[in-house]
Amino acid sequence: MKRSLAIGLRLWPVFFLLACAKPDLDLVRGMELKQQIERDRGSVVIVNLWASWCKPCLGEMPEIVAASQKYAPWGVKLYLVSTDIESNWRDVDRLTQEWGVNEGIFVKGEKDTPFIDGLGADWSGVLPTTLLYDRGGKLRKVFEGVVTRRDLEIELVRILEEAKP
Amino acid sequence: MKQGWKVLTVLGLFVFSSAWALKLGEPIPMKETKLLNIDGKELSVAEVWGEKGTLVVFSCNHCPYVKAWEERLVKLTDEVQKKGIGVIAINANDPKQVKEDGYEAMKKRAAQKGYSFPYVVDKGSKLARAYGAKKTPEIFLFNPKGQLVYHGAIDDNALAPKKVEKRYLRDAVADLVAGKEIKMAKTRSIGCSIKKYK
Repeated sequence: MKRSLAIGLRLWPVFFLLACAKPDLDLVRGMELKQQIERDRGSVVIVNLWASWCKPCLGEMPEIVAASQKYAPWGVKLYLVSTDIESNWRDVDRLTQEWGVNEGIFVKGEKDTPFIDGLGADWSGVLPTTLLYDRGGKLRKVFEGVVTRRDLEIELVRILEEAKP
Repeated sequence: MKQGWKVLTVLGLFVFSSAWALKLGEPIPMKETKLLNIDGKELSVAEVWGEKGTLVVFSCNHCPYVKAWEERLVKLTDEVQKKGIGVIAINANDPKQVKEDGYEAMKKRAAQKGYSFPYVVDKGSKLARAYGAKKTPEIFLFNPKGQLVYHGAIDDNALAPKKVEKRYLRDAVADLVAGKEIKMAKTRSIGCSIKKYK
């Protein structure tokens, strides 16, 4: 018992550092995100803009993730773009893990005006917002506010049916 | 075939209508519409009209972005009103969707935060629709003629006040009062969606 306590006391700085470590998240500028979507031509891309404190965002996310996973074999990609500030990044990391999303996770890396202008999606800044891009990289649908799995799937199927790979 | 094009045109308008908002230079809509203020009286935007212009803020109680900007906005509106600009805050959120945005909560919030301007209920979200307002907070600044001269954000950093570099609204008001053209008349910001009445 005493030995365990002694080891614990020696290791506390390690535990402390691990607890304080910031998650390794990809910061993205609006223009970079737009370029990434252009590089993804051939895939249908869902971009969801969210924040860890935004209750409607958290409410819709399991449905968005489920829809994207269902159609992933047909070339659907999901990018989750958090607008959180650095102090919330641990929440971003925890939530994305809870949703089972391991890739395509970004954090907004610049101020609102350049980010929105750079993305060039005519996004009003509303959270949550889901953008749907077709296989040609063209923005096809903007869902401002909460989107249901049903509405998202209707649009996904419409786009997928248009141009099969 | 012609019928088909008509249907496509209507569908196209519907698809892209979500991006619509009042444009710079356009006249203020529904200026005379009466809205319930937190003092229990009905009030229109026309009744708060300032000789130098009018600031309309779509706001609410629950949104973290509104809360983050609130102290700065209240301070700024005090200064703005002294310059002859009328100020009004409009809550277009349906309280059935967000309980925190109900009328009683509005009264409490205004008292707690020291609002020096009317805070009114846009029942039916009619003004929000007429302005094309999508989120809170969202700023619309009109000149004395009633034309939109600034649309967008309060400043360039909602969540980190110490990191603000550009005070968009303050600068726009300064230009308006000085009779100059507003240098940055349209800015962007992230906010909470307006939970419109259905």
